[in-house]
Amino acid sequence: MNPDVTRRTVLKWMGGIAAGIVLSPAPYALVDDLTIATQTRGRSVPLPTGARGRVRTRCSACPRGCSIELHTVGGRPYLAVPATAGACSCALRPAVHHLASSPGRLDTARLHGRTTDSHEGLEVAASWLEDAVGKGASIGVIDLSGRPAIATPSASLVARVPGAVRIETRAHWLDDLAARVGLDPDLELSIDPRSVDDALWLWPGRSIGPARAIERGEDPRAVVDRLRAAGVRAVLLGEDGVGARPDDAVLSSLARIDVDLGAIGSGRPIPVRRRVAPPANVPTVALGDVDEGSFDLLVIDASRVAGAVPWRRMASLLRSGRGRSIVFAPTPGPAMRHGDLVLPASAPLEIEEGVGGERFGDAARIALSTPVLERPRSCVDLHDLTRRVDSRTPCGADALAAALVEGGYGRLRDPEDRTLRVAGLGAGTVATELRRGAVWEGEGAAAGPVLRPAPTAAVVDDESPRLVLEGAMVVAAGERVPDVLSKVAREQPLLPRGGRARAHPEDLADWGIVEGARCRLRTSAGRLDVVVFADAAVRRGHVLAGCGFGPESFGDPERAPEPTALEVLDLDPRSEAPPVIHALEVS
Amino acid sequence: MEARRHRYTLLIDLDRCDGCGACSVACAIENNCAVPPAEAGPRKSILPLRVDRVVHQQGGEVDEVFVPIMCQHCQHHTPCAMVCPQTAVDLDPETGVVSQVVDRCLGCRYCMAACPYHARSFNWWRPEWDTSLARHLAPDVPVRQRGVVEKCNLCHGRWQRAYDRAAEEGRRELEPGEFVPACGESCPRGAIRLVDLDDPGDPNHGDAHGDRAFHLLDRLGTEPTVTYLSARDWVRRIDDPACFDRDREVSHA
Amino acid sequence: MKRLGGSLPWVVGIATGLALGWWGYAALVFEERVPAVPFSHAVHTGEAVGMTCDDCHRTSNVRAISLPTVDDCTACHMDFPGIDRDLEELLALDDPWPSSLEQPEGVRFSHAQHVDLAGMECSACHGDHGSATSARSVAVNRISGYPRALWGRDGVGPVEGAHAMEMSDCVDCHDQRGVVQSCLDCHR
Repeated sequence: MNPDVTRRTVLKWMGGIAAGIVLSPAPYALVDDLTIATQTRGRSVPLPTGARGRVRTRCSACPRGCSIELHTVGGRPYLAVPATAGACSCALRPAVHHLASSPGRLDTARLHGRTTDSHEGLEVAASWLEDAVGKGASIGVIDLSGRPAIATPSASLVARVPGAVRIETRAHWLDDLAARVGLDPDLELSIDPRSVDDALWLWPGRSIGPARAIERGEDPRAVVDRLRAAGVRAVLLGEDGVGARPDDAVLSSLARIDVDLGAIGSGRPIPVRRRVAPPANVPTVALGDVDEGSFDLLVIDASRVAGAVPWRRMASLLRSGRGRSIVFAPTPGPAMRHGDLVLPASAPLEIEEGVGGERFGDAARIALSTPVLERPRSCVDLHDLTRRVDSRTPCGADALAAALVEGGYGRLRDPEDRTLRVAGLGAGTVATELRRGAVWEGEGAAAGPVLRPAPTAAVVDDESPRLVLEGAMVVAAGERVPDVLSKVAREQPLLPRGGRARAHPEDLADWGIVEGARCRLRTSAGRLDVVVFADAAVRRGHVLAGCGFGPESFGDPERAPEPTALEVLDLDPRSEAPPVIHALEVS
Repeated sequence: MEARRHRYTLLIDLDRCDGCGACSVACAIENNCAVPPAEAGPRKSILPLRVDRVVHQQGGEVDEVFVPIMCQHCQHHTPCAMVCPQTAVDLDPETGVVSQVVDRCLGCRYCMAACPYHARSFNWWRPEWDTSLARHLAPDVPVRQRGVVEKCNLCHGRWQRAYDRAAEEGRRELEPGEFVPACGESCPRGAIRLVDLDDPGDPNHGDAHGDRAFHLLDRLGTEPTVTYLSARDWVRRIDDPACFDRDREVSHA
Repeated sequence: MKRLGGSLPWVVGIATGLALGWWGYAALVFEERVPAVPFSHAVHTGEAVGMTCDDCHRTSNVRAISLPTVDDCTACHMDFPGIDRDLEELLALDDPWPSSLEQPEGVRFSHAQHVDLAGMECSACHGDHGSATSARSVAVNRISGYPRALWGRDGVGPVEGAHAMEMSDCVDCHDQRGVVQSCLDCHR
């Protein structure tokens, strides 16, 4: 029997198959599987696996070098937390392992273009210096940090090195403006920024109050007209970085504003200060007075520059061909072209357990993409980050000075016998490590005159292996103090008057300071009248004074900078402790 | 053999917080929150923990406070749990933690509307990392996909690891300090601490029930467990609309 | 009959379709992954050798799966009958021991809590794996990438052998033993 299979039969059969498939679990299983596949395979990245660990090291986002502890998985860091109490109040730090390896950062030395270890680089630098000193050669040191009121580290280098000369540069945009408005360029003008309503306070790259509108793109002329109509006079404060300049449009607009030295709107006097001269025993020349080929060795410290570095202005000096140049820079780029030996501004993040030196993508975005910070959602490149560096923290040439003075780098050996190398930065961290039991092993003895107080002078106490630090390492992002910006670059709100300082209650007891007493905190960065409170979260021997010292807190500019001291104004009559406490660490 | 019940939560000292934002960044790192594209503003970013800033002016006095805000882990009629059609939100009676399981979320965002603290974030874009950053993810929290809501889960990954380690040693209970959320560990001022509200032996228990303690939006009756501390009267009333005036400024710091 | 008429083609078709969907799909979508090493549990747990589970498998400091390493094997013997290639080479291959119980990344399981704290026997979840004479091959879904034991029963009953490890299996056991649970106990 041969059934006649017609097309209709086939169609029915196929229809039956289709119905059967639909009735079976298959289509739904297929949809399920596809859904799962899109959900799980759509996940862009798997999680890391491996053994967990914790490594202690130093943050290298800025030269302060806070102690941090890195969480690692499979040897790779993924989070940084503070290793000591009272330290590193900074929002960049949790993601610092990204920053440290950002490709924009210079983290090793380059010698004649060849990559080399930064410690070796510093030792080469020290040997060049020694060589030059030995031959009686001429050495020029350019410090671009641009904060003349602060004891300049280049001065300390110059003080240690016979035959060295400090080359001073100036905020040339301020020179331009000063020339346009007929100001004496040696005057450093400041205004009382506590009132934002009737003052216009500008400095390169940053502004508060009405001037913020200019930064955001409003026509500067319109803003300035508005202010002028309100009776505002404008005064410029020359702060950060040599060579950094505000927008030319702003500059030219402001040049048309009268500068009234006597009063500003409300009639308050404007304090006028002379630019602080470098210490008298430091020979100084102006950049404009220096000829090409004047120096056998040139040291340029651009490690703390917030803003652009005027490479072109110095190029003629660098190309003199007669000698060598050592440049401290945060990023490669122009420094590489001009410097024979280029050294990183701060030490790389040294992770003891085999991780480090790996490059990341634009990892700074992670830390800076929270709305907590001033520029949410923007990819901030590393150069912009260096603007936020506290320029009063020693690094760069100080490291070199330390290398020279100490005859090389000291090494810290901690109780667990791991070697932590101190690359001339993070002196606060060094002190922390010592308090935890590490021992300073200096190599060689101090040589030559030491400028007192040297900002990073590591004076080793011969009695016991303590590291006594003189000089202020003022960092930001602590308590808000008027007039000073946080390192994390958020605007300062108006706060009640008077600084506040915090110290450990046992320290206060030792020092005979009653909580709430007024004290005067003196450092080489300036002085600040504070009210002291007890805070057990602050390290022993440490005074946490918040964001630093505002412009009105500068000491008498004619005097040499002072060692760190806390002078008790409200003495406790019952106490026999001296009214001035030295050997403090201030942050 | 049941373990004791807990009510884990955060104890945040507003008199110590200086608004540095390290907690917020650490939270984003621990939870593998990707950097959103440039067009995302603060409202469309993924921030399980944000820091708000409140400025207070009265007479000539000006003061400010920084308030870290995250999921408040409401215990009673938890608003987000009540509205979720997917039962992706669960209040754990054992730990007092309100958990969001992103794998179940379908992205309706009803919970975001229900949350009185705006503590929830939505993945408007697909989370992406470039190849270098992808090698440095935190290991405890899987990455999410586009279209799901997420929030603070009180670092449950760390909590699970702590429990596992305790289990290996035969313990059911954690030692104090064994479980530390990322925000607390990262705060340089020690302003954020973990506390077990139901454990009188917890070292922070006293502070959490002391005079300085308060909660945000208590009057809604949702029993938020996150406890804030401040000695300043005006700070304890920052959620009181009667205290709002035009001199007050609240901004995402 | 002169032609195939009526509903016979339909019926045949439906039956074929059902068969295709039910078994055919499963056959197509699951691929068998064979372990690299023909390991016999029975030999090792039998009277001659007398090993127990925790001689090779660990429960602490592992996320979920603890498979032996080369060192575990070579601790006792250097000859591996039935294996031509170097053992280390084999174990270095991609996925040498395919596991039917590998959970998605978003799921966390702690052996420590179940074995160390709750005192469960290995066989409660893994069945009598100790007497298996060969290492099991694992059916893995080509589309979703997960083992069949997690998603995808074959329609005629649970996967044979060790217990399947779907969420409902875990939840059922928790319910039976009265263990309170919440989402974050297991989900990451």
